[in-house]
Amino acid sequence: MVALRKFVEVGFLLLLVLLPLGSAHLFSDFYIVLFLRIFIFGILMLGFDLLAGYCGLTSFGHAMFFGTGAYVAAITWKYLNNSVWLGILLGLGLNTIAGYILALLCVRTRTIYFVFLTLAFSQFFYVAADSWRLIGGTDGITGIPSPTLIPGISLGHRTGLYYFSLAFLVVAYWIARRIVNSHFGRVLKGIHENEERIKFLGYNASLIIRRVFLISGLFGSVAGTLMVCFQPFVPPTYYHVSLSGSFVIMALLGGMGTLVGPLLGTAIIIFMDDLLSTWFKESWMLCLGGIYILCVLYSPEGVTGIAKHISVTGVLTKLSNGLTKGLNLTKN
Amino acid sequence: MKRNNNGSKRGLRKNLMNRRDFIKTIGITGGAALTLGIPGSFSLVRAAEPEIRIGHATALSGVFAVGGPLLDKGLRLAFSLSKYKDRVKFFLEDTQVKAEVAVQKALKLYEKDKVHILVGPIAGHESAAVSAVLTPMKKLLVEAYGANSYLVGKDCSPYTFMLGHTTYNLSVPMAPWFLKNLGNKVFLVGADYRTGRDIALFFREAFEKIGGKVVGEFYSPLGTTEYAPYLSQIRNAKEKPNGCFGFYGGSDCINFVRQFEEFGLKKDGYIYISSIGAFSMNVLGAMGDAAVGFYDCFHTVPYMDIPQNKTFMAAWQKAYPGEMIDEFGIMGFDVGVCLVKALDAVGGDPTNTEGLVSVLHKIEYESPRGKIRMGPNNGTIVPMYARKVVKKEREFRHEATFLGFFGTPCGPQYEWGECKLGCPST
Amino acid sequence: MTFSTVMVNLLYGITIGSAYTLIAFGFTIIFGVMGVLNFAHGGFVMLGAYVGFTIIKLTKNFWISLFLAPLGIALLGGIVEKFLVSRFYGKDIHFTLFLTFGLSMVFSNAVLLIWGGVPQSIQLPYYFKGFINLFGIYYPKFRLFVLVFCCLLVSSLWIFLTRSRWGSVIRAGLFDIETVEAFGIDIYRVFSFLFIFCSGMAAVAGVIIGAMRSINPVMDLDFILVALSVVVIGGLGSFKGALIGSLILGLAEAFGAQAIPGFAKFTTWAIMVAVILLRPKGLFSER
Repeated sequence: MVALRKFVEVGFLLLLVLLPLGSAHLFSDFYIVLFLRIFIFGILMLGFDLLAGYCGLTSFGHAMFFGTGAYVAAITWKYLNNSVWLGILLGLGLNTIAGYILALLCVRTRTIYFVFLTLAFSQFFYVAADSWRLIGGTDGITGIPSPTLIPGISLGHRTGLYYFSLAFLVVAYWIARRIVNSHFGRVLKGIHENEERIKFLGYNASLIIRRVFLISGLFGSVAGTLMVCFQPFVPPTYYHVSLSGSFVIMALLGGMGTLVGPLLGTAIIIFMDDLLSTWFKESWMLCLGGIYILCVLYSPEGVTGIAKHISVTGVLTKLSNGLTKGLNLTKN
Repeated sequence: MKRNNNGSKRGLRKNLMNRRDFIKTIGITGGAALTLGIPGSFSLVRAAEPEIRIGHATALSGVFAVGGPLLDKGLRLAFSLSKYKDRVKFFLEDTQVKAEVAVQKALKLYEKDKVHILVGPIAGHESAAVSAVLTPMKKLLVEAYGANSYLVGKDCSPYTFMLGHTTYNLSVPMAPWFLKNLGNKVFLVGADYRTGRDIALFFREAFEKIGGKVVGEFYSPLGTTEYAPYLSQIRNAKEKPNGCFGFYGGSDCINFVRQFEEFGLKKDGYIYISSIGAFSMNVLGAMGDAAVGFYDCFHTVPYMDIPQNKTFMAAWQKAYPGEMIDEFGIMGFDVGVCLVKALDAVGGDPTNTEGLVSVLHKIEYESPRGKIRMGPNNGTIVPMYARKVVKKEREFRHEATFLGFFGTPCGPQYEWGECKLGCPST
Repeated sequence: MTFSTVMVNLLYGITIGSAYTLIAFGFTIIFGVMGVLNFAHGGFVMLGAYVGFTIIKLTKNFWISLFLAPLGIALLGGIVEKFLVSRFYGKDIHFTLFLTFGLSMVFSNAVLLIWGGVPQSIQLPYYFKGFINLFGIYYPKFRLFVLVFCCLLVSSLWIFLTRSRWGSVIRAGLFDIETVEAFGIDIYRVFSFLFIFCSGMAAVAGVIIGAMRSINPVMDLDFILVALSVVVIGGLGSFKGALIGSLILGLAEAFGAQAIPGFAKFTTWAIMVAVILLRPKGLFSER
């Protein structure tokens, strides 16, 4: 049973690995770009799910970590040294400090107030970056050189970046799974179910929440850094609340608390974004909004919720019933 | 806090997904993606056709949304009058005046829609980002707006062409005009991003060199709707300025100018001078009479009395009856005319990017603005006018004062540096 | 800063603050009583502005527009509440969050499709154009009207909340909705009424603010941020919080541009962060 799941997982992974090789022939190179975005945002979403899905604290400010990772990487590669590892490390470093401080400030509240606080901080960072001319103001940082994997191998090439990000995604997923399956993960879920009970059991809930906040931020930091490998500029809108909001939506669409759900939500939204803006040039946002509304009405738990509620035999039975009825009618 | 009967907080179920659900989820998503996505892209990959695909990434929403659709109309009009009218296919995308969206759309147009030429975004920071991404890919970018002097300076690229203007030639020629016609005291304003700040900065340098004085300045974030806190600073300047110069465009311009009048500044004799043709016909329509008597700086004047413009106006009014002649429309047409001429020179083969690039580098063409010549740093040399907004028989018009022909110089002595392709002598 | 600058900023701060109260009040009450986080609230403001714009274009009468546009939007609010929002009462806030988020996208795009991306201006009647000279400072006539009008409206709201029967039901609902239900009051009717009323209020704010500035299809984002900022500063679910928070926000906007040149928007959010640090739940939170 477990083997079957592992088989599906590995198979899917293999597909993703082989994708760039066949892409130029089967379909356009453009899809690599789409998948790249899915991988990058996916890494962030894994961290987000730890905080929001498992621990129950929906953060409307994850763009903070994303943006900080991006800005630090940009400044590092432009002015210091364009080693990708240096960018990642420095990004993680600054985000650890920022995450620690933010955790102290934000974790005094729960649920709706936590939403507001994280949202306010996200916008605060946006406005600060937008106004601070030292880091570029509204224009952001431009002219960032491509980072190098090791001196000599540049990560500017798209396919190389694809595999690099995929590798990070796999590692991130592995880490997230380990966290979720560990004792720490169970305590997180416990906090979500009933924080008072966890406290009674002797756990320091605030400390644990601050830790998971920090950890989820680190995922976001790596995502932001990878984004700059891909797009050589960093606008202040990487901190904007609309980006934070889109993370929440991606998680909700896919199904929070499953790790796979937010990844799927990200993939769905990025694909749909592209498809809809091709088919419905001017009304794609309306269609997307409509899809969200339908999703909430009929499957509030997202795509993973759909999976839980339908069963293959059920669908087949309904289909065959319909067919039989149809055939009977035509006979008469 | 809502609670269940057993006291636990209500929340979404987040059980660990079991194997079956996992497979089903993957199956649903994968199936949906395949059915929707792959066939869509297959249809785009066909054998090379003699089709000319032109991508246009512009502002259809956001601060400069007034311009995008008009640029597009002008572009299509130019091609519909050419011999390529049956071969050309346009792809329009919205950049929302955001640099990262502009880059996304540019990549999408080139890689998914397989366009041959990209007509680029309106805002200066967008054009810089798109140029930086497309140049290493050796893809063509043609800009009607995108005023950014760096793109004809150190960030210049053999593949990027600025057909309209840059922040240099929209600000510096105004300095001597201002001194002669208004006075020697200026208050600088503008939208707080690279383009707005550069226009004010270059004007200041030129103005102070000829003996002018800056009595105050402020810059407000792009997209500000409320100028009340700023306008009082103009009144409180240490000396009364002869005019306020600086770039506000699109919806910023509408809000600023309306509030400029509402707060009594216009009545008390303060004048506002904008740039980049901010007082375009459609914007004037939205502003009411608030802008009458103000000035701006641009290289094209709708209803100008020259033969090329008359041809254009007739064609526009025939193709789009009832639609106002507008600067954005003229510039879209200008880009179209230029591209048609370039395509003629490479025998109508849009896939010959290198050929197009070398032709565009030295191109001269007849635009509704007059005769336009490309400078060595891939920026055009254009006639510049100081335009005054007037009202004639209930319609807005511009009274234009010719300032001279201006390209954009480059070199180490300028902020934007030197373009490795060469610098014009102007 | 001169006296006139301070006065203009003060006047403007209070003007826009009272207009923001109309928006923030609706947002906070909807959440406080119904537990619904209405992300589409900014959308209602925007729709109010656009519908008002169209009505003025057709009838050339500002007052008719000020009266009809909110009615229309209130009706829309009622439809939204009945068919969409009401299904999620008592459930997790994520559902309504997702729902209203999608709704806000629909509204924004619908406005873009119907009215186009070009910013429009609401034409004011001639007696509102221009400015008057108040003790040596120049202030636009229309803004003075907005100040007076919004103060009147906010005061009537306050009187309604404190003196009327419905008002006391609402205040009780802010405190504990289950007890209200226990008193035999049909809370679902209360919810419908509230949603309709607050949407209408948002639309009034939309027409007024739209007439002060230009309107565009992405303005709903600004207004939902306003509502959220006020709630962060003033606290959730309280009228006083909405009022004080809006005033603080308005004054921050007005004086912020002068305080640190180039950091205009920053001042507003810096104040918000300061409030958060001191009182994470806002100044007057009732929960």
